[in-house]
Amino acid sequence: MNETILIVRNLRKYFPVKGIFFTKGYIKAVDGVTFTVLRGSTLALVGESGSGKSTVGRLILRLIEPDDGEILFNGMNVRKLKNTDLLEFRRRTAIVFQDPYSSLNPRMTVYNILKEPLEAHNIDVGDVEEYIVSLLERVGLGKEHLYRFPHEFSGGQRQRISIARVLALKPELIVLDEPTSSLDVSVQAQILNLLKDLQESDKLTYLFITHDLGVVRYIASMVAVMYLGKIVEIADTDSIFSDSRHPYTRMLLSSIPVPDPKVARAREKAKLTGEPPSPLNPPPGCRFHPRCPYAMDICRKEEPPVVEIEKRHIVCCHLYVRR
Amino acid sequence: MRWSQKGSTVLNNLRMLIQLTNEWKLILLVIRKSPLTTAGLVIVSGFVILGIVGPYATLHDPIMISVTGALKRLHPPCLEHPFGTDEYGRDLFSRVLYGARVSLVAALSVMVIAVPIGVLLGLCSGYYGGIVDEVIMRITDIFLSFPGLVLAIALSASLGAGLTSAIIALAVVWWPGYVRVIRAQVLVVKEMLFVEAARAIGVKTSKILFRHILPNSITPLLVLITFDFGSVILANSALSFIGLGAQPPIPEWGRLIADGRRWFPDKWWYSFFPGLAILITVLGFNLLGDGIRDMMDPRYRRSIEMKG
Amino acid sequence: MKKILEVKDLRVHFYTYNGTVKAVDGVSFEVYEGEVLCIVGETGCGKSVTARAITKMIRSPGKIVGGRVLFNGIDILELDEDQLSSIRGKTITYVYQDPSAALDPLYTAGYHVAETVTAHSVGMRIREALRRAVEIFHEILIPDPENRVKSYPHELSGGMKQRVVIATAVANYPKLIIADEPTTALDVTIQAQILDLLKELKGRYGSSVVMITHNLGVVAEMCDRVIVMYAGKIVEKAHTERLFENPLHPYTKGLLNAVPNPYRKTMRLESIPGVVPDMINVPEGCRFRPRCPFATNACLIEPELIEAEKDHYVSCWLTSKVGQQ
Repeated sequence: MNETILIVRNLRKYFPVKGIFFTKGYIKAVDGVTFTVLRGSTLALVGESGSGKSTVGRLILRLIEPDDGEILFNGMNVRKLKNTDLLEFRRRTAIVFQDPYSSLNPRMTVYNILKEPLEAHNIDVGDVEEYIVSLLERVGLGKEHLYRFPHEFSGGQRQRISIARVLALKPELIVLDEPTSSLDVSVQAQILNLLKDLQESDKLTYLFITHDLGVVRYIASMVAVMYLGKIVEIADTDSIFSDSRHPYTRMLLSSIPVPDPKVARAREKAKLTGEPPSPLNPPPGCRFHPRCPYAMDICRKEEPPVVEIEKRHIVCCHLYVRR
Repeated sequence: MRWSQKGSTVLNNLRMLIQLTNEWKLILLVIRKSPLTTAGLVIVSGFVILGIVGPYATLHDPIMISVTGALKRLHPPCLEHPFGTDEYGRDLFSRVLYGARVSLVAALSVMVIAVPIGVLLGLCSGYYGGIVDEVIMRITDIFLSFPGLVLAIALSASLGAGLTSAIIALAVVWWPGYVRVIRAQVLVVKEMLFVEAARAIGVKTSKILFRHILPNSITPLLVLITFDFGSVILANSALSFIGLGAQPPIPEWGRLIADGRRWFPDKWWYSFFPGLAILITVLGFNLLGDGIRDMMDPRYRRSIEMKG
Repeated sequence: MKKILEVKDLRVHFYTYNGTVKAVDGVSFEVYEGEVLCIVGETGCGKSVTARAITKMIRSPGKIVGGRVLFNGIDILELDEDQLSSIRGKTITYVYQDPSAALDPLYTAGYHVAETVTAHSVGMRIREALRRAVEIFHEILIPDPENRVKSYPHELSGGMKQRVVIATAVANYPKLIIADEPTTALDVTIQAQILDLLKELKGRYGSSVVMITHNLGVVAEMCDRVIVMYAGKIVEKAHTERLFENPLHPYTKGLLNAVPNPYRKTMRLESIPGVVPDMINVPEGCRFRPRCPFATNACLIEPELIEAEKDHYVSCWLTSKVGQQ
């Protein structure tokens, strides 16, 4: 159970911002991200827009090429994969996107959509139609949906088709990029339950990218909180919610509207100030210091070190450095 | 292939067809709502049908000069010769009908050459970006920076007068437009998530281009092809008018106008009817093109759907 | 408390190629002075259409086919465009989901506010109005208001843009602010700030707020009373605390159980099976029947909205039978 499936070390990606003639600067989308994922677990990558969480997901699958850093998937160096090895890596990994309206080709039937991964990898599954129907049944759809087009489905059903497409190749690691944030709550619950069941039956590993902490609490075993391209805190899900250390994690937690009026009105709120600065010119030192209520002089000058609070609980903050 | 698999492929194609007929229903609805599009469609289908069967349906030989015909030189329009006759006594109605075929063949050939070249270059340019894009687009720009007709005249003249050289010259002038249109569309479609999803699955680039990107870029292509059909007919006639393009005795509309100028305006029908043919045909393609563009515009489409 | 707005049996239909969509089908509610009323529901339940219909902002192919909207004793739906535009932006104002679409990129933030002010005050010059804009920016805690009024929308962040939109909404001391998913497009930390702001405004300007949302967390934070809509109808109406304590309609119960709560470890979320009905061929009787775990034959007849307990209305046969016994 404690086998690691994915190790990411010091991952970095800067996107150039082009002016008319010169590159004006770089958006430091991902700036030195390190974490590991255990087989069969769910790591939630949490952050607000511009934190770089989606970019991390795409970098790991090499949908975007990283500038620097190391990605080890089952011991393989992902950045060095070529041709057939890369194809095999693509078979063993998968991604589900947020927007179910643009993630399916509007001009293909469900049958063609689900057959595509099999063709791409020349996989012989015997009776193709039977196999595809079995995939559809696993995600709660049926034979009657085979020859329909995406526009005939609701958002939740489309997301089920996306999941079926991903399951076709029996992957080990699935990156879920906000898979439920454009769905209604009742449908979101269906999809989250489906993902949980599939994880159990197929021993899947999830990298779950989201901004919804309720979803995180429900599905994740570990949580990594990102702010402006850096991870500020990683811990077990329960410790994040009961014993968070980084001021940003705390701010995030106190901002979520709780679906319970008594809790919502009684709880004490951290005073919220400011907005995330642009990742184009992140502030020097700790990137959170302009919004941090505990900011000290050192935070404005030096980047905070990685501090291990306890086993499996890491925080990047000057407050926790023992002097 | 086992039977069940075959069966499912058939079913799959059937569904595709049904989908298409659904689209047809909508297209019919739009046509009903817009008389101008209908007019365009009628003209264009008339032109195509005449282009195919016209030469077989004429009462008089459009090319050969007959002895009896020679007695009726430059005869004004009458029952037997609705468009009159030319200086050799040939029936101008038959000649104009035959000219429809020449125009159809010319326009079709130009499209068959120019569209695939433009589409292929546009796909590569838009999808790969970077240096590939730079090279293709700069070459395209060079072509587009010449006045199209002047370039066509120069090329056609250097290749020697004739329909084939006119077609080649026009194809050379026409492909850059398609590169532009397809490239712009690819830039939009390639950002869609299903393209990224296909990449993540491990689908080959060629399949991504032809199965995902091209089918979703086809709409503006269709509109442009329709408009260009009219423009190519016009340009081809222009080449013939100045003596390039199809050579006598083959009747070409532009050539007929040029020939008729000698007797204009006394024998007005000689130039008038070929000119009218060009006017109506080009207008037809433009009306149809406008109609298709409106149909494909989601906003217009929705308003039609809603009012239904 | 004084009623400031009363919606009676509102019906809005959309005439489409495929058939008639009864987006809002007999909705009645009232808004009291100084309260925050939430309309909550999923995609396509008709909540946004209801909000727009309040000031007759329904465009073709939609049409208001029935009902009355009484505001200070006059029926808004009877007014002509001129009379309506003297209400819109002055006494009833809107805040939309996407602040980027609500601001014209060619004009400064201050100009947007000044424009709404001058539109409703005869003889006021734009320069005076701009001074007023600075005041309002100051009041709604936009930092550095003197310079912010001169900023163009693209120079502002999403949260700041939404503040500017709110500034235009409160500029004329409206009686009613209709906020349609005002925080959905924003990050959580910004959402929290905007919600705090809206709460403060209620006190400062004495406006009532009708808040359209799909987020039950936002409902719990913000609202005094809640209306739950499903497929064009109101299924439950209650005070916020009561609704969360004692939800009566199976749909409301399902909705509350389906939200993952960050403050509680849940082993299994309860989801509502099935999908939202096709609004052209709505199910006969109770519209929730096909998805309802308690559905019986009685549900083939449409239940009415009845008062199950004080100020707590529900439209479900389960409750009405309990009530009768």
